[in-house]
Amino acid sequence: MALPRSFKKALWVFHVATGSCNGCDIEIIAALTPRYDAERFGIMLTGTPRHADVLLVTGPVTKPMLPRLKRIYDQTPDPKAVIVVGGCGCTGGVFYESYNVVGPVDEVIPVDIYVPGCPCRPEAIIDGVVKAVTKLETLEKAGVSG
Amino acid sequence: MNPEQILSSFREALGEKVLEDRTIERSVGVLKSKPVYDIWLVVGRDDFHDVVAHLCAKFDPHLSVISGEEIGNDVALNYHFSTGWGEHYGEATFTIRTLVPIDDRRLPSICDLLPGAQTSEREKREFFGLEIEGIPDDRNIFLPEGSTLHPWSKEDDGGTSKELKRLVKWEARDE
Amino acid sequence: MNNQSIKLEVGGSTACYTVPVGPVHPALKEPIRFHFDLDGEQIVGVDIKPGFAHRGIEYMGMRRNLIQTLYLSERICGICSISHPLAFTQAVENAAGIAVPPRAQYIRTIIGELERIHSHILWAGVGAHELGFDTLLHLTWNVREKCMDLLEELTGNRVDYAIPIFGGVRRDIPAEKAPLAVEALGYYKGLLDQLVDTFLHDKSIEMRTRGIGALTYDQAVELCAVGPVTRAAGVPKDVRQDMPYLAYADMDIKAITPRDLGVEPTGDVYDNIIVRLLEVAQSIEIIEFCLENLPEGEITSIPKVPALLAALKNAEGEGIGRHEAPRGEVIHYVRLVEGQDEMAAWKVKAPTYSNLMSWVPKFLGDEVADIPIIAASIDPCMCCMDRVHIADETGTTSEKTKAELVRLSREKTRRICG
Repeated sequence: MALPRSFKKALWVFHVATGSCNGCDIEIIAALTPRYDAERFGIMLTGTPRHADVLLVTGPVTKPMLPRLKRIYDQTPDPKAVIVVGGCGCTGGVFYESYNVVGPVDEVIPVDIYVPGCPCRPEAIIDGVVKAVTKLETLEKAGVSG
Repeated sequence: MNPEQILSSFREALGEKVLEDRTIERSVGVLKSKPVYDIWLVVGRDDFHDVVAHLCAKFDPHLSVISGEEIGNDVALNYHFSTGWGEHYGEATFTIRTLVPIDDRRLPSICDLLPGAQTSEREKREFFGLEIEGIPDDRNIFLPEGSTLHPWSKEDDGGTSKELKRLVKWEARDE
Repeated sequence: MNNQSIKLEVGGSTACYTVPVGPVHPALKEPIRFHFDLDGEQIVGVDIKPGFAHRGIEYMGMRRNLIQTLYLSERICGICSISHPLAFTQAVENAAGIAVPPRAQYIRTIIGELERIHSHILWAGVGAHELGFDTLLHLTWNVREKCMDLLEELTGNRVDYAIPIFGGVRRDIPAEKAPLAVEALGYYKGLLDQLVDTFLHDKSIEMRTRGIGALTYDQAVELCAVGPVTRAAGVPKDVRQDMPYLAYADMDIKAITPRDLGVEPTGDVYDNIIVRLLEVAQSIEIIEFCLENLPEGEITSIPKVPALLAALKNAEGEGIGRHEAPRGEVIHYVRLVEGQDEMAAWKVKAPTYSNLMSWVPKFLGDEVADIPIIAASIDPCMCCMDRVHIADETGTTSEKTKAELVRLSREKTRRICG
């Protein structure tokens, strides 16, 4: 059986926390370590958005993180996919009525994949990243290049 | 040292400066019941530094945090100390409350006595718009640099309540 | 971020430059940006700016009823996701005078200690990663999953267990689940010697952590440091020992310092590792005691939520709740006013809040390559060193990524190992 197109290259992921509680962030690391071992699919965390195919955003966006999140989004080369991990990043969740929270991530940057859960299970995070592969393939077919 | 000894040391050294004191005994344990103590003290703003100085000189306190709330015409600040750490059942919480008038929000810093108080003092400074005299660093700590909000102040919140809007529009979203 | 202050002594031989680290840093309320003043490789000054993930949780909590706030308190920190509710429920129970049934006290303790086990193992992995020892990161995190499985089995979730409620707990530990816990504890007991051996007797770990990020006894006391950070400096502060609560009150708990392993405390990273590993063993003992002595009876004193809300609405008073979280003392202060659904005042203090100041003496005098491990020695956070800009004395800026810092850290490991 031929490998599906989605496995033609390894996905590099940049993780940015915009005010999350660390719950999802720890589950992201758990997804990469041996029990779930996302690295066997070539999914790897990178240290800089400039090397990333996928942005993994956790948490509601706080006011000081707003300009930084936009900047990280701009620094990520096209084609790119944005995954929001966690209920508070998807909708704001329990964090509403605050003077320092701007809102959910999709009010700040365009979001492709939402992974709800408080916090999401590692399986759900891996599923989100796999969905991002499809998104990136669509973008590539449409001729968006980096 | 039991709470009564601690309190009598304060009464002896500071006399009238301690406006109010009370000790609350709580019982803990299921198999065997034992008491633990919460000590609460109320002191005036002018005597506050002296009281903390006595505490630091005699009892080697740990400062957990400073809590606060605006009640009526005052900002009530609670300094949550504890004394007697290091021994099994040796510790009691020791809360010193002082009132700062809302129209004259000045308070002496205790960083000269206990350097670890700085984080909490800076936080109360920005949350209530206090002026902490003698604080080594009076920049914002948790609020963004340059923010003039005072979120915990009811009288003068610096516009906090107007900031509660849930969403912002991303300027390039519809492009 | 690009306009960094450059201190250049004209005519002098030394030039100081500033390295900002951060701010993308997700730990609790304290995401950090550091500004390091460097003289060559040596750190001569540090400025810390937290607050990038400040969500104003206390402000939100003072606008919601207490049960809504309980959910919020669980989401202060995803690693200490039972520590904050434990301190919060105790504060409210002290303020409102609500009793907690004995069985509930023991169940709270069991979950709290399981959290300590997974948190300390998590930290050990992060520490290993920062030193460039990724094999150990994967080993420790694999071992940690056993604890996560047990927590999921007992509470229904891997994180955010939603166990404490005012006046008790929401879920019982039925008799048939107890053997699972016993089995998991046995698993960790068998592993402990191996973990201690890997971390404490590995030459490169010892060389990278001995004398790095030291904190003296006096500094720890003056700066009001808490948790393993202060115990590593030899200060025997531990809320479970000093002012017992819940099931800890029935046990004779002793604060663990490096002296328990015959090591004179210096507060360095190595001592931090000792304390955390020994505390895993202590937690296993505590859970075993709790399982053996688990009292029979109710798990909550006010089972109906409307009745609980009514009782809380009619309560008046103030209370303090403290808990020794994996990273140190958590304290919540609550004031309730009769006839009001929401709290009149709420103050939350997380352990890193207290340990913030102790970062300064820990960093001073050490090298750039030690930044990751010293930062991690206080707080188990992964993403603190996200992006670094270095402004050198000519004023040009170069970008240092987290990967670059880790590379520097690894190079140092190789260098000192020859």
